[in-house]
Amino acid sequence: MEAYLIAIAIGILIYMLLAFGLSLHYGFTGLINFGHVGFFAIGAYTSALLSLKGVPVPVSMAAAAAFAALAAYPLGMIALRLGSDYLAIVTLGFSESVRMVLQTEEWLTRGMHGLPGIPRLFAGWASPQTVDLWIMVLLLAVNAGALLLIHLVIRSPFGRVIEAVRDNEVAVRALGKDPAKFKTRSLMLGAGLAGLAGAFQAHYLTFISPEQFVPLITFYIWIAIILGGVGRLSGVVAGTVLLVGFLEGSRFVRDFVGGISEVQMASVRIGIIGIALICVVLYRPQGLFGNTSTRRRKA
Amino acid sequence: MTLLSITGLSASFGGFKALDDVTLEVRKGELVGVIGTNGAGKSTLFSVVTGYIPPTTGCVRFADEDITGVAVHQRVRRGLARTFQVPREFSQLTVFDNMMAAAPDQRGEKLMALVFARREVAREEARHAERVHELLAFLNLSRVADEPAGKLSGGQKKLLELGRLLMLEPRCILLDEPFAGVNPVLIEELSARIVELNQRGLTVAIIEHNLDELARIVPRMYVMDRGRVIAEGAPDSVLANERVREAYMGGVI
Repeated sequence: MEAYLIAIAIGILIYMLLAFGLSLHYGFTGLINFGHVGFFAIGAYTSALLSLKGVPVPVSMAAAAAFAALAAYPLGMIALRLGSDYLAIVTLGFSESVRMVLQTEEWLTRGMHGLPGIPRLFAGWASPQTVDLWIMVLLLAVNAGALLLIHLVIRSPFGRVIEAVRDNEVAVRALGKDPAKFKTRSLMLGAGLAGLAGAFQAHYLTFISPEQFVPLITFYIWIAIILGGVGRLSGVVAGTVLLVGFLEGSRFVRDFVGGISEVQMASVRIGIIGIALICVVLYRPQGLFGNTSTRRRKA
Repeated sequence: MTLLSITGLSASFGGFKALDDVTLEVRKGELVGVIGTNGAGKSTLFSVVTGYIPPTTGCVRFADEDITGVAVHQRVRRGLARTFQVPREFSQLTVFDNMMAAAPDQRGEKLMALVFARREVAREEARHAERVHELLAFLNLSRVADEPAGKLSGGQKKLLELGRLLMLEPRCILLDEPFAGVNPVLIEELSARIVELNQRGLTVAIIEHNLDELARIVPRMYVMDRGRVIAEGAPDSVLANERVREAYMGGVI
């Protein structure tokens, strides 16, 4: 039971890191990124492949974040000159392309067979019983760091401009600033967080394969930030805890309620999330933790 | 001395000629108006001059440099800035932050500087904040500094837009219908501020629909009709011009 709770917590924390990145993109910059899972996948595979080649895990994880951020750069240069709706399509295409490459380039990724035997985080110095606990603790610290980072970024002059881009891009240009530059930086920063999340996924599960990186993951993260409240960091935390906690926790329900098959249960879970999302949009469109007010001015 | 000169400028949308061989100039330190009926091409003129719409032919020169092909934000950096007919405030940011966002060349806009030059960024912020408070006081917006800009009245939004431009310390500002949708009390205030800025040396060009208010404050104006400039001169002489009366007022007056 305890082990299971830790597993749920790790799942939540990996999603939370992803959600912080997406929150920076959508909540604060207004970028409609439907391909977030692509950065997640790039991070996972980068760190997995490097560590399988003998690179120390902390180094490979840092490389994963950097590589995912770099992958966002050309995407930004191409897509950010387009309107926001086109960006949605381009990013979705990007993440699917990433998945296709992972599936077909077998010499590198072993394709659909996936990559087994990825070194476990802390495998060297924690006992098998406590490894998960340590991973959870590290993830907690990393998420706290990400929260602090985004908080500082949002409060900075840079953060002010990306929020201005979100509110009115044309006016930003009229002030002599190039919105594409700011959008690219925001995209890269958020992608870096997603890449780091991918690295955690790889070194926690020790096995990754392309089907872990389907678009559904992107939309789960979208649901999480919409539930929690767009443009609110507390909303990111609450949204992912609720969503992933529910997704994982509801597996239990079947143990107590008879007569439901595994497949039926999966559908029921998605159905409940759908209903919850509709209710939030209808009755609390700003999200559970959102409010209608704006960024607070520094004292 | 000519600051902004527009020569033989034309722009078409499909088959429609929105601007047809427009030539005009704005002298340094001048306050000049451009009037015309709906669809006369005034807003298109501003959009071409500021780079939002490319011209089909013609040339825009600013401070003795050809800027016809220069990107929008680069023109702004050279000192040529504009407002919009419908205000484009950053609605979720406070009035204060709207102004702060406009400050040019902020080091804190670079992510690296946030890490490695924190003290300088903070100093710069303090300097910009001081300037923002000065300008908000000048524009009589201090009271609403902490309000989200989206909640302001139409007239206050126009004042805020003007304030944001002033953060850039521009050499020439183009105001697109500053008095449209503004209540009469604020119109007085707005035009007083514009005149005051001009007296301090800022070059201003105004597109306006509100003929009375514009004629009161500008010493010189152009009249446009169907994409062409049809008259130029002091308001009195322009308004007495037969062609202008024909085009602008349908010959009623």
